[in-house]
Amino acid sequence: MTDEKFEEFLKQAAQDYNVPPETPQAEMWARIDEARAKRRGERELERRSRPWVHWAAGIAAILVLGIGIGRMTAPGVEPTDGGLVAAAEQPVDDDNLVFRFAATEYFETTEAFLSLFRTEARAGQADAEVSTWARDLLSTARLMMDSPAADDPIFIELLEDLELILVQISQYASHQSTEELELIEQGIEERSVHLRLQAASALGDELMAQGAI
Amino acid sequence: MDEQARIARVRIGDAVAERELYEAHVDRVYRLAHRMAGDLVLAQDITQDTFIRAFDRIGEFRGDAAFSTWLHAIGTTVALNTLRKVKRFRARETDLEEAGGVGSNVREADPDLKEKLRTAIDDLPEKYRMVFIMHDVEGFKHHEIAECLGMPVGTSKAQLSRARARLRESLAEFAQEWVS
Repeated sequence: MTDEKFEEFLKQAAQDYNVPPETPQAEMWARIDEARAKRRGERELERRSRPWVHWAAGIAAILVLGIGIGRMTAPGVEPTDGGLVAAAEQPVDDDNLVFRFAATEYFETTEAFLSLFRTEARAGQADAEVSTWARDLLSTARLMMDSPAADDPIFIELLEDLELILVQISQYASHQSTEELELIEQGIEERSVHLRLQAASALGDELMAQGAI
Repeated sequence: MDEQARIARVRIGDAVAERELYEAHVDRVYRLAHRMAGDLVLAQDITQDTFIRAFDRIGEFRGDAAFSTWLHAIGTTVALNTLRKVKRFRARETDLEEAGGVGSNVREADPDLKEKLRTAIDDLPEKYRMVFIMHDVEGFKHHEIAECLGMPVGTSKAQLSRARARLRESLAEFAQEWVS
């Protein structure tokens, strides 16, 4: 008897081993679909319970759109010496509208981020995720500094302050020193960052109230 | 739509693409699961778990191997783990039966060739059995088996050879069947 003969015989005879019936496709899919839906629900809950993720996704979409359109449509925007309040009182420049809205959304998000950071840092809960989102906000701030926002002295000053604070926060998670946190908080207080961010956010509300957006 | 496009859609959570990908591969996954488990319910559990894990981890699929190979790698892992658990559970049940004096050995009856072959395949070590079923029964190639089971091609060939040798030994009394 040869090996080939045995192998051939074996392959043929083994076809009767645990012969599969017709695949119950629909029945199995129903269970897979149910499990997937449950998993998606759990992920959504998890996502909602992590505000950093929520914010980052939101601002990323708005800023990419806003800064992109702002750059395309407002290449020669004149500087406004009057600052934020004056800007809100002036007639809205349509070409620059989307950009301004995106910028005010950014300020609003950053203001909320700073509040939450201070709360969590005091409770010792500022982790690596905070650093990640601080870095993301930092990148966006730098992107804005290279955009028509830099034409407004109030905007650029605010962005420069934010840049410094966000750099400190992005490095804070790895050290978590009390001195570092005090420096960050001191910077926020001395430069009235919250108030200025709120004023910048109010500009977006003003634009909304004018029906421009 | 080709498979790459379908996979890309699954990655962004497209439920229709998930269903299409499932339909394209479920038969082969289920067949192998049933061959290994020999049980309708277990085969369904293994198949479902394979697809749920695959969809969960679709972001990890880099396209270095064929999607079917990647999927079967998950499937074989799920199958081997499931069968290991079932075996442990059944072993405990058997111990209890033996302790109570109600055990019986269903394999004592003198089997015909098919039954003897079935018993011999069942008795193979799990990895040998997997390689044997994949190659000789379901027609997988050695390189596919090697990728699925995370072993070199040479190991797949060696394990198949050992599995066949054991089966040949078990079926020695039926030698005239293949000689003729």
